[in-house]
Amino acid sequence: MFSLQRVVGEDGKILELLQLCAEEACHSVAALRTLTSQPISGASLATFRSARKKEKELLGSVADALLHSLVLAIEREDVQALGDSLYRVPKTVDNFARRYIIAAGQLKGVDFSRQIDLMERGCNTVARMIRGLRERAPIADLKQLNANMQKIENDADDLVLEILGGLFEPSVPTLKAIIIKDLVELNEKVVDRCRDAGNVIVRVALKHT
Amino acid sequence: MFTVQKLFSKDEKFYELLEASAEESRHSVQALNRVLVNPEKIPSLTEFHRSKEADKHITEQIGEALIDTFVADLEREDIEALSEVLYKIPKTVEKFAERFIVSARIAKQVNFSAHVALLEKATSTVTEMVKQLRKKPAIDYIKKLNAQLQQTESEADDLILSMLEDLYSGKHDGAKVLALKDLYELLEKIIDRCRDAGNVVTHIVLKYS
Repeated sequence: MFSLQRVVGEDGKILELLQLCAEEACHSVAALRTLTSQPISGASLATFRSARKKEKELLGSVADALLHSLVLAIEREDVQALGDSLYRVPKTVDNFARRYIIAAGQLKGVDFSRQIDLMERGCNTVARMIRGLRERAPIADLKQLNANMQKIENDADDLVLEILGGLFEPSVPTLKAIIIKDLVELNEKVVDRCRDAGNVIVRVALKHT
Repeated sequence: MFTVQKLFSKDEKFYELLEASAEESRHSVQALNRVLVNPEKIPSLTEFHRSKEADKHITEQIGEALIDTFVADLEREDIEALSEVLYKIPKTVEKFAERFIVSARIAKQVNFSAHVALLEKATSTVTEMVKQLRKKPAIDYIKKLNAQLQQTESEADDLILSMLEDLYSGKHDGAKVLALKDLYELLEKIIDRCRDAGNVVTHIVLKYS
């Protein structure tokens, strides 16, 4: 029998919590799009703080569930690795938002939308992969989703290089270049964490096929 | 020799080594704080290097003891995780000291007193948490200490943001922004490693509560 059924049977609650974490990560990236597409005056960090807090609470519930489960089909280390990667998404997005707001004066005309597109795709892919685990999706489907994730991560790396190349032009003021580099690298980290999460999900699925 | 006693004595060894590692981390931070309260005086790297090497030696001893020991009161993975994260504290402190020396012309003009207070608080809490492990503490007490650590880490996040706000204001030249941003981020990283150590101790205590 395909053992993912066991995973779903015994670890359903943990997977459900992890899926909520992934959805929370998607919400925080959506909030970032709103922040960067509106005038900075009146911008609020409340949504980001709340996403980070919710994610932390969900992971607290995951930790409790892990401690109180005697038998788990998914290894604890895998659950922890997945939880850590997911938590870092709203945390890094919150960091970005805080820095974006304080540096707004130096960021007029700077467009982060292409990076945010990739971050959204990364988060949505992780959420789909976790849903796939819960719904006993065939391993081939999860592998395909993970291949998409690797492509997103590659595109994010290429985009960072492209942006950095532009920053090193002599016409760009040094301070502006430092700030943009800082922000762009934070966004890159979000996609990296989605990639890490995707790798853990495939590892879990492979262990149970 | 009575076997239970034998097993017990091995566990004691791990507690001693972990406590020694936490103490070494604390010493390195105390040495750093002496530098930060008197930034006019260019520090020597010797003390930081000695501290890092001492902690590295303890971490290696823990690694070797884990190979030789069949049973430990604590789980192998937890001991490894805690010793690794404790080692990263003096390692990051040494890295900070190196950067401080190379950017001394700029760094010596900066008031680091807020960082000093947070570093002191974080390392004292970590040392106390590690020392509690052998006493099989009540989970509520450890959770309280960990909450203090999380609070310190959150204050460190806010502190770096206020420092960045000043750096991004356009008042400072590019070299100063680069050098100080690097130093602030390393200080934040030291406190992050303390937070990580606190999380591992809490995780261990939760397992046995």
